[in-house]
Amino acid sequence: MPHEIKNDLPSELNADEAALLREMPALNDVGQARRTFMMQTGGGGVGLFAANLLATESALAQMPPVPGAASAPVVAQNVVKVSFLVNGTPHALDIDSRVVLLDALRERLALTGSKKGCDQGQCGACTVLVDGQRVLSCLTLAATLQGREVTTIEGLAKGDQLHPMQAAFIKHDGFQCGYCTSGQICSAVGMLGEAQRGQVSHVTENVGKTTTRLTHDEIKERMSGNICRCGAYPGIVAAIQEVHSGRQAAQTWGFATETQLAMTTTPSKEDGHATV
Amino acid sequence: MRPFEYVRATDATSATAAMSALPQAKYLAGGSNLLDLMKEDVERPTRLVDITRLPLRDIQRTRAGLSIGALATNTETANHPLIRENYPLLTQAIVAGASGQLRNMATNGGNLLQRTRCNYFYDTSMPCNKREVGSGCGAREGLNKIGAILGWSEACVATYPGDMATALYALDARVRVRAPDGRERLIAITDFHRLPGDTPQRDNNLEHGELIVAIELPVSAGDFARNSHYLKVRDRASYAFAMVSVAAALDMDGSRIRQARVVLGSVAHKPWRSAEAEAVLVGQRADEATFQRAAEAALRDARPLAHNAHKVELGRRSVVRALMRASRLA
Amino acid sequence: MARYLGKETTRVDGLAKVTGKAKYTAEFQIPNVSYGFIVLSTVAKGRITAIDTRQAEQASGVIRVFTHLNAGRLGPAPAAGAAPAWSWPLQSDRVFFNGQPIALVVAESYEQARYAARLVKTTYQTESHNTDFSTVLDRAQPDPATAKGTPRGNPVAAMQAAAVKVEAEYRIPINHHNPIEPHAAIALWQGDQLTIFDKTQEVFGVQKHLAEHSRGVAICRWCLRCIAQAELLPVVDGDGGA
Repeated sequence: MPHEIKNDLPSELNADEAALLREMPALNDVGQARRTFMMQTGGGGVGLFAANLLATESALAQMPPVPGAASAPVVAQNVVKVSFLVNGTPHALDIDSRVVLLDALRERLALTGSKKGCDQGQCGACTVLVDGQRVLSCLTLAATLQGREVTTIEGLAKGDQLHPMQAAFIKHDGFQCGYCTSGQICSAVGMLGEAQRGQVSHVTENVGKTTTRLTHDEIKERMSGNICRCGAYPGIVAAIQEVHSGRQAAQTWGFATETQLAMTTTPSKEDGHATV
Repeated sequence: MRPFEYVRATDATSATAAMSALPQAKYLAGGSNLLDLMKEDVERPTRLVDITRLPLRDIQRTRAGLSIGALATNTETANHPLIRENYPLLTQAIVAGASGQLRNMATNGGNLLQRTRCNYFYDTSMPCNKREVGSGCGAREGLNKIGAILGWSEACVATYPGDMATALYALDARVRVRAPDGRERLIAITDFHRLPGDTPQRDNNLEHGELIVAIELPVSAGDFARNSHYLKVRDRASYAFAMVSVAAALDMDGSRIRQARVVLGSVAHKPWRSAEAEAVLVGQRADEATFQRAAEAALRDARPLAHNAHKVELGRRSVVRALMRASRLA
Repeated sequence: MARYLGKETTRVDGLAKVTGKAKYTAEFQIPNVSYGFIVLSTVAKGRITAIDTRQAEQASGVIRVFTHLNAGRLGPAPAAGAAPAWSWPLQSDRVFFNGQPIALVVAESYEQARYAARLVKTTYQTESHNTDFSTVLDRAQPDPATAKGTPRGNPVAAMQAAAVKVEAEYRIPINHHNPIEPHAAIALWQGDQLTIFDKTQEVFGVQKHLAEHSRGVAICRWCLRCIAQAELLPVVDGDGGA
């Protein structure tokens, strides 16, 4: 049955939880820190988790270069001047002609949200939007982007307001390690735009007609350019379907009831079948 | 990726001039194949001529039929109402290929020019006559599961992997090409790509510097709109090259076949239009038995390699199935 | 009523991941970073007879090219009389597998390092290699270090006495666990303190491994920090490390 994830949590630990923590005293501090994290990552902003990372990183960034460190005279070759918008901000870059958009974002503009998974157009983790269209930034030469508008994962939220696709991915647990997530979300946003324009796909029955309603099969086909090693596909499809249809995806599982729990029996040990 | 000079072209004249001036120059459009090959050090242009801003994107009716701009993207082309309604085979073929992101980037011209995905071509430590004339063919006696079963030579057993072109062969397309001196010529699509022979380093019949400006479909290709089907068989359900594919198109008069087009993909150095299969079909009733005979004819001269014998039987069955779907019997 | 047990809770790292703010190994903004590109062997077995790095060294932006000729000692000295085996990179002229790291190009930019890697010229004396497991299966024996002492049960007798016997051979292709995040590491020297950002689940293992075996480079464990999934600096590890 449909459900909502309730994020208003009871303030007390129950007996089981308290017992667990008592049994593992060494984890107390970890547990404490994690509980603090949990309390503080509701709502907007980047959350305490990411805030810690960014604070550490800015501390590192303050370090002066080591005197006498080895370097080569940076002989830039085939420099191209190119200007384009990234998440609404204009950038004018002088870059080696070989630089692809993905590396321009990650190495030059410190926008590391877009990921390098394969660097050859096979995984989709590098997906960004250029003039609203989803493309692979690892196979896009930055030099070709003169005057274009690039939107990355960092540009989808509006301040503290998450893009509906981002919120849906959290709600439906559309990720585990998170490495494919930026590409999945950008690709999904681009894909829904394509669907709104009535574009057909390989699984569309009759390409003579346009369709704007996407079944699960349509979503899977249209997202086939984004792979997920953690296998979070069901959550990804559910998130996309919810944003596309405006309706919640039906829950297909439930916690075991007391009756069901009581029905399970402990397996008996068979002769000659000692456990390893 | 070797250092290269980047040039942004504003019109066809300056583009072709920048290209023809340097034997190692290449056009850059979508770049999805070229950049991949440059990262692998297979392609080593010293100059890239960016043609993405040339006004060659229009898809429009002409007296002769339909003109499809060379710089229209695969996505734009597949979804254009004129294509979807009149040449659905082309739409089906395009959306069967690559991924959504790649179809947004890839242009029609670049798609025709895409290079083989043979592993030995990609691996610069392996012998490959296509990449390096005279170095040998690693695939001939190597792991050649994705290699050709038709039209190959001892010098090269690579296949052309593109879906769109396979459909274009079935639609009697012509490629409009502009030379550096401004003159244009039309190349029948079936003469665009080459067989390897002893010149596997040449994929197609373009001269250096020539620019593809459009792909043209004749009015007559619309006869196949009602009964056509693109079938792609592959290791996984999406985003993979074909093991074997078939573009089947029939012009039917009731249940009689007036005209037929049968083109197999991923079995040769170019899409393989089978005159033999078509000859079996013309004038016949559309039924499975006829299609079986056509399939036998299509693959009769197949010569499999050590690791791709499955493509022969798979090819036969795929021809049958594609024809069944095209004729709406299945 | 449990606060967390049995409750659906959104992931604590969810916000960071869906906004692109979560930092993975190669993404820490270290100033003045240079880029390394690994050169891999193109033969499966043999020796490097010559490795010419002059053109690579002279390429634009290249700082240094490391090979077995100049990398310095890393790892423990091989035990006397032991058969040569792969352990640490760039320690000998031997090649044990196709794709073995045989050089490291360090340059100011990624594009320059990647290009210079193609300029390293290597010649090999190859030896015949065997990757066909079935041809050596009859020579297989348990590894003395990890094999269990006494076998349990009597499979031969059980098979003979079985009412129903099924004998078949099943082969599956080799499976490689390959997370999407590529391996990456950033090495940051501050005086004689080394901080390594690494893609690993075993932070202290990496620290111990590097500190104990870097005989050519004096690092003590306390001077070597390995940052991955440490408490203070949670770095997300792209699918289960490796």
